[in-house]
Amino acid sequence: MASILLVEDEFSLVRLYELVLTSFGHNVLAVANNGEEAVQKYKNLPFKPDIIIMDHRMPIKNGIEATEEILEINRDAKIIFASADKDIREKAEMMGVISFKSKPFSNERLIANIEKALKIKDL
Amino acid sequence: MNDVEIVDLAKFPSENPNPILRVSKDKVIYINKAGHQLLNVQAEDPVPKTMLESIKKVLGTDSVASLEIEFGNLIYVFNIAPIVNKEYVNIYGMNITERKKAEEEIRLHSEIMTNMTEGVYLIRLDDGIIVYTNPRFEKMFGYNQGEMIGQYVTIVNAPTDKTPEEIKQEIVGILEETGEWHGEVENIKKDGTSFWCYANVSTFNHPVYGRVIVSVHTDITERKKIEDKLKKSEELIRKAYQRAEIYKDLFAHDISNILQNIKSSIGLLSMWQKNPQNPQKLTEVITIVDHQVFRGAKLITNIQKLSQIREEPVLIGIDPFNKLDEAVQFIKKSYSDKQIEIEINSQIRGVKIMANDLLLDIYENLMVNSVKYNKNPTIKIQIEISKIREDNLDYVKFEFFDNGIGISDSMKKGIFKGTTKREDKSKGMGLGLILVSKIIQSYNGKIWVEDKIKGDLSQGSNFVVLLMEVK
Repeated sequence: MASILLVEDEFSLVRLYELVLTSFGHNVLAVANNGEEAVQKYKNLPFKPDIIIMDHRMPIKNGIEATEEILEINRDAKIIFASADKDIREKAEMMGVISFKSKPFSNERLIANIEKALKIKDL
Repeated sequence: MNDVEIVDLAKFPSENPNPILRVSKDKVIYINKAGHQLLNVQAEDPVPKTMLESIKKVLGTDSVASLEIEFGNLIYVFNIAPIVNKEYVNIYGMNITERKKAEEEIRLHSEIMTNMTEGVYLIRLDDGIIVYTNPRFEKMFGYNQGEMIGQYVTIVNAPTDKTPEEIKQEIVGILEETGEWHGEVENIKKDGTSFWCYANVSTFNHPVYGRVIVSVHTDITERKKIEDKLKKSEELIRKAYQRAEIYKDLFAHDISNILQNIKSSIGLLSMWQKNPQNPQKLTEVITIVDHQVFRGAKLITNIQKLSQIREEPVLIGIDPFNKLDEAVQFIKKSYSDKQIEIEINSQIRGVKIMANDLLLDIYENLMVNSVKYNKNPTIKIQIEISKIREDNLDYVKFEFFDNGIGISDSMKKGIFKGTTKREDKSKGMGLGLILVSKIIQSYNGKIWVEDKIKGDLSQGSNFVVLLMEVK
């Protein structure tokens, strides 16, 4: 089971991700609706999440900017990008995200990526 | 003079390389060798027919006649001189072929200068005085024939950021260095109107005026106008392309998110089919799918409406309340699963605003925005309508207060300008708000967003719209 920080500005998607993740036995530790909130929540969480699911196009601070700041806080933070912006894939991967999911993707693919990311951590 | 000298002198006409003849009214009395070779006649032959008429005219008079005759490529002039009290005339011929060619050349150049579509003028380099202008140049500058001669060259240069004298000095400076100058110049007509010319300028030594500047002017005003139009068209196309790119990007993003919602929902529903969950969750997911279908339909409508907006639309006086009531009904119906309270407060009735059918899209999209970005169990939208006078114009002011998540100050600044950091794909306004902004722009109205409670964005937003009142 993974503890997850969910970063997504679309309320319906947040809710669907929550339903999917909990259905597969994962725990949504916190939700942030923009990049700024994500960085703040990551800083303030007493127990850091195993996985961060990160959207890109969000108000105030985008996913790339938030990822940069989170990776500065913790170089080993495991971030899965879940974005409709395919053209930022290379940048995200260069920064060191675990994987990049291009919307629309299936629930199974998301779960598989989380499990893969957890194994990387375990190693 | 001795006999030898007299004999020698008598040879003078026969040795002359030019034709010399003496003729009576009907026959040749004498013709020298050059004359014989040219005219193919000899003494006692009849007078050449080509000369007969001219000879008759001067014979017995004291006037001299001139006659030009062409012999193949050669042109000769014959001066026919009668001798007083004699029944004959002396004829002195001369080959003027080269002189005629030169004259023809000069005449041709003059014709060219007169008829050419370019204006030409000469300026004396020493003092900058205009010494020649062709008719086209005078017409181009609106002067009468010869009126520009003697004037200082600066009368043709329009004062731009440089004075006419500075322009002249600049051109002369380059001419002295390189011998030629060409480029676009802004000129001025006699009546003061300015126009654009392309000038080719060079210098040469004139036999009369000394060192002169010759400038060939082509009026490029029309070309400049076309270029300006072209530049404006290019700018419009560039902006349209940029807009299309933004719309495409937003459309692709929103469609991807809609599809993600649907795909995740279908995944969950499929999973729950095998392992039933509580009905509340099921309803929740079905509602999400339903909203995404509505969202997709609205996205398509907005894209279609965006393409319908004209820069100068036909506007009529519209009662703003009818469309507002229609929009409220649409929102309530579209989000029937949500608890939405919409309140309209207006102290004015019976006003009309300059608008068209797209007014409905302004209302709908602003309210969709308030619903979409709202986490509260009860979504509250309060619409205040009043009158306001700004910049000497009368507007009807619409304020859409909501209890949504609010808009950060950094987003407020550019949210309706289409400049909210699109290059880094930060979240800017969606297509709905772009549409709202474009419609209001086409109505010559105004829109901006404020905090519902100033300084506390968490309390929600207030979208303020000003639309011109019809008096």
